Amino acid sequence: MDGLFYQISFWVLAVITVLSALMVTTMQNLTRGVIFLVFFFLGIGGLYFLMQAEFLALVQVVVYAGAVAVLFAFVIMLTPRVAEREIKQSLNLGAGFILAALFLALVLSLLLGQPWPELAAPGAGTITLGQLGQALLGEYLLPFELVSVVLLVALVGAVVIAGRNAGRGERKS
Amino acid sequence: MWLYQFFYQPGEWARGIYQVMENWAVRIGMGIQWIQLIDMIIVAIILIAFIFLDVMFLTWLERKVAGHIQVRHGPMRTGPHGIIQPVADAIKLLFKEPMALPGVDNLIYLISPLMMFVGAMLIYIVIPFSPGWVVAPMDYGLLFAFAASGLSSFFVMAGGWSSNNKWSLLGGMRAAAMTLSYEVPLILAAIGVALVSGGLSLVGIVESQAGMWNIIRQPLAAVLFLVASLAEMNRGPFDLAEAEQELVAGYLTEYSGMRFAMYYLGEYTHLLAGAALFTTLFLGGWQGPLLPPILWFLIKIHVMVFVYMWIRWTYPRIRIDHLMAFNWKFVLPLALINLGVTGLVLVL
Repeated sequence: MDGLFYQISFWVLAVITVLSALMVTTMQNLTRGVIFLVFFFLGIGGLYFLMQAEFLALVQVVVYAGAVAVLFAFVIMLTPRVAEREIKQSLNLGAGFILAALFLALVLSLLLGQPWPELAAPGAGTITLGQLGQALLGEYLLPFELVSVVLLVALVGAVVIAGRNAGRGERKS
Repeated sequence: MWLYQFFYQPGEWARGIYQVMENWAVRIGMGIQWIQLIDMIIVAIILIAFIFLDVMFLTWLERKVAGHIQVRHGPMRTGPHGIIQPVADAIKLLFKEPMALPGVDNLIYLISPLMMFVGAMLIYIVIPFSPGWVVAPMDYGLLFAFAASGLSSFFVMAGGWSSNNKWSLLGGMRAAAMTLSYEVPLILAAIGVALVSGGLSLVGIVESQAGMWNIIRQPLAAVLFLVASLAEMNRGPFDLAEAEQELVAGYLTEYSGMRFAMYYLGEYTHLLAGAALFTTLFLGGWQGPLLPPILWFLIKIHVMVFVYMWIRWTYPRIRIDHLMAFNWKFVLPLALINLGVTGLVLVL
């Protein structure tokens, strides 16, 4: 586990993740921002792999890199002239500094206040897909169904809002 | 004896070779992790060599199949029946000038073909070629294949987008829209298979098909998977991302030289991977009588590749709105019904 290659992979992935996260937040070009977002998701997925959370890693790649990033890219491409527009960085340094300091304090208090759990031995802490399914559809059935309903509502709402303007300029059959 | 083991007990054969290497490493006092690294590099080289050679052969096969379906010969001049045509193509593409329009986003323009190729190659990591011959026998191999495949589609869109050309942009957007919508029935059809086999591991799925292939147990899922994978791989009749009659060449319009070749190879790599996935999920993978498993696997994937080509050159390309309506109103409900019925039958 703590072999040389583990260390190398960890550092490579960590550098990729942190660098692309920085790029996403500082890029003035939105299109490049989305590309770096994909690399960020991939880096996170790789880190999950290293922690032996294979299912989480793969879901991360399928859902975030495969679907969410594509949707972001779609929105940017479909919105006229957003792709070329450069996003100005906010110059409100005072407020930004205060917010960043507050967030740092929050994260640090969480990080330092908790004991760090040791990484489980390989294979010991992993959950099989069956256990995950049992948990989702057994013990946590109500939250799971609530989340599905919320997603369904969002979907129907999007269709209704988009449907209002549809039909204009389209031939009625 | 050695040959027999290579063909009929490939798992033991590979393990034997690894044992020999490990013993040798221990004797000369090398660390185990280094021998594992060397082992991984050798496997990677073999896999990449297989992919490149096979994909080269596929570009030739596509022309021959297209030619014979359209009652002509296809390539004939380079070598017997034009078999050296891919080499000639590669030499031609190497000498072409890589060009880019002004205003192109150079970074994305450069990495998109590479990443698309990488995404398509990642799928081979989880495909079991023969008993014991799989690079990573992951528990979630099926999910890994979809993750890698979706990744390669994203970079089709990114390439079309960065080319600064309206046709490329439209082609890229169509690719993304098609991937997003056809991935849903694709995964649903595969989940039916996973339910029947009781796991997402591709090795487990192949082993569960001993005696009866999944194409008999899940015929509807097989058809839906075939249709949806055509769209996922950008192959005709669903190759709307590069529809010549509307979009010049779609996302490929501005690419030239080796970058074009990377996209082109990536597409065929994806095709071969799709055929291998179909074989693994529905045609029993390496299983078959008499012949060694690796041969069965290769025969099956090339038959599937031929079927994909046959479909491409037989059906005309359909319109983009018909494509979307076909997915959401026909393929997706059928996939859901298939999944529901499979679950019901398994529970009862």
